[in-house]
Amino acid sequence: MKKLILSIFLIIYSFYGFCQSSQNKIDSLKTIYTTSKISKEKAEALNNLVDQYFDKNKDSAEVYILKTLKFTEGKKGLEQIHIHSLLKYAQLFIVKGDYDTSTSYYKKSWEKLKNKYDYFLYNKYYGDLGVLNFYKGDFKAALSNFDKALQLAKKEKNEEDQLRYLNNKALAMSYLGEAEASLDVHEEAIKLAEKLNDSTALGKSFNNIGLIYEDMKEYEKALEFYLQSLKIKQNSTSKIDIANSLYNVAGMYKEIGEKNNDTLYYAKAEKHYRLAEEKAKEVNYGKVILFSKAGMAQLATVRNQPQKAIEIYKSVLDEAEKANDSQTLRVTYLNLGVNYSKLNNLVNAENYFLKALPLIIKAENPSDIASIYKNLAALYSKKHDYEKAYNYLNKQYEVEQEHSKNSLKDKISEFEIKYETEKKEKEILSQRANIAEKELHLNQKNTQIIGLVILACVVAVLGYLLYNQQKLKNQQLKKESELKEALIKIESQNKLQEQRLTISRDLHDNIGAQLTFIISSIDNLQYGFKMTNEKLTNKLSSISAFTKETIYELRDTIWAMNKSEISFEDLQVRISNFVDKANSVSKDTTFEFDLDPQITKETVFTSIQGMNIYRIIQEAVNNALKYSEAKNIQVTFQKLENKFQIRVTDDGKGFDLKTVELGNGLNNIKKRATEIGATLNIASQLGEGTTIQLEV
Amino acid sequence: MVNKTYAKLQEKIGREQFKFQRNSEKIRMLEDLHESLFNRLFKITRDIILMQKFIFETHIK
Repeated sequence: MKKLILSIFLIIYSFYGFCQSSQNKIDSLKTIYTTSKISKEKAEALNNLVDQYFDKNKDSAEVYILKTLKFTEGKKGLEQIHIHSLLKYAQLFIVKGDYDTSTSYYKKSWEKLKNKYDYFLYNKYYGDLGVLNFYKGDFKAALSNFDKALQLAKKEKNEEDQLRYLNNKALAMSYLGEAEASLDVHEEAIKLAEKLNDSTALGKSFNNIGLIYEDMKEYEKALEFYLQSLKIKQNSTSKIDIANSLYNVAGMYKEIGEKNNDTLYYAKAEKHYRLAEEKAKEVNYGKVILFSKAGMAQLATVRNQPQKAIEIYKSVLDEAEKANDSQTLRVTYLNLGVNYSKLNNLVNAENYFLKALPLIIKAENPSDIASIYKNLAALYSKKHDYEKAYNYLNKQYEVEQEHSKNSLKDKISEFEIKYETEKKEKEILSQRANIAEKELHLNQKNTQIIGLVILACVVAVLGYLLYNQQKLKNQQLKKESELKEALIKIESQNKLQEQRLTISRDLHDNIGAQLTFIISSIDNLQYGFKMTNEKLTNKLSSISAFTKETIYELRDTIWAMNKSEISFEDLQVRISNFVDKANSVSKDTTFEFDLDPQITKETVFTSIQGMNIYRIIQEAVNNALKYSEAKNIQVTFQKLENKFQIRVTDDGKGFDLKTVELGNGLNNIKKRATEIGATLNIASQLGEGTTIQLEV
Repeated sequence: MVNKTYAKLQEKIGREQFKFQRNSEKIRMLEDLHESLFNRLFKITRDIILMQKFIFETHIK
């Protein structure tokens, strides 16, 4: 029975890609065919119609194949379509189960095809021929053809075709007992299916894995994979695919039911066989119709309904013999043998077993070979022909020994672990990618936050700086306004002072004039009238002299006032004039005026300094003249480090500083010295003269 | 800008203060002068009055 299942999968792959169609497309193609005047267009429309009908209606497909062949026969430029139609026709006969006719059409196709390479046609030829070989039970030839098709697909880098032929190759290898090697091919197919994101192909790979489990008689696992495959396939539009999957699932229910003697599973198996048959009938898919019948017959066998099973098998046998379907024939022969054996009809049983034996040996499936040997051993045992029974048992033992299942089981487990590990690794990688993405997001957010913080800091610093600047500006403005205020105040004070000075100047002029008038009047009195009275004359002279002195004082002050600063030269001239005058007035006294040559003429004093220095010298000289009876009076100017030293020295009688009360003159000198911040030193001793020393 | 104005103002104030100081000195001098003048004029006036008295006493009898 396993052989039947394998065959069905091959069909799935062979027809994959030809199952999508729609009524609209068919109508459109028919319109093109009838209306077009271009041969190539017509031929292509016919060819496409064949493809459209192939999966839906085999009879219609055959009609259009024949039309295409007739239309393209011997026409230039349409050779490819002609060969394609031949290949389709050959394929149709595979579906119908007429393998001989199919073989003849493949031969015809090859005759036309062999001299001109065309990937599509070569690929189809080798692939479909492989399927035919498979159905005919020639698995070696099938493997060879699938491998050729696979190499072509690899050369053309057509991954979809590679996937299809990898699966077919794996099946053929599995059937040839190369299950371990076939697992490697399955693994390659699964990787490719995942790479292509081809869920349908993945579903088929599940099917194949299920098939291997089935071969291992691990039916629960096989059922699990078949159901997964059916789930995927139910989304597809291919009824052939669905029919095949239903058939496989039914087979597993039957096997599990048989293993556990569970009638519920038998019921499920029967239901699925019926569903598979119905689905196959919808598309006139003879192979699965036949297989489903065979399945139901086998179900009757395991349900211990041998009579019913034989009836169904006989109907299957008729059709298989007509189609020369060796695969179905050997299964049917074997099962007829089993059922006749159950009915103790040992002659018929032996007859069918012996018919099945060469076919099974030819198919080279170790488990089937072991099974037929086992059945023959049992049969001959019943017939008491123990020698034959013993021989067949021995043969069974040898075959089973050779076909060690353990290594295969390990390989499957290893493969399963490998597949699961890869899947988990992929999940881990996906999770890592997610984590990396999240980390990236987090990093981006952190960067944004840091950026914002830096921006905020910059803004804060700028704000602080601006605030400080504004504060400083305000302070400066405040100080400025204060300064302005002070300036206004001082300016007004200066104006006031200047007004006072102006008024004073006018007053001085007036007083000066009046003093002059007084002097003039006194002089007139003295000289206009002859004054005999000496006392009166002296009095007038005294007033006149005093008034003149007052005028000089006034003039000196005005002189000082009119200068913003007094140069040493000015001061020197004035003192010299004064000394000269004093010298002329007092004939008994000699005056000396000494100047330190270090003192430059550019040296300046403020007006008040200059005025007071002049007054102090004047006062000191006058005192010396009046009170000291000095013969020599010396005025000395000397430059010290940062100071000027002015000394007025006389060699008069001197006085005792402790006993003599200071008069107005000396007091005035002290007052003026204090006023200009100068140091005054008066040194005098009786009989040794006096020295007044001023340091400015 | 502010500093420039501020410096100018300070400079101006400096000048005015200097001027004020000079004027103050002059005014002080004037005050001294005025005091001295007042005393001297008082003395002159007194001497003239005394002289007139003497004239009246000696010549006009």
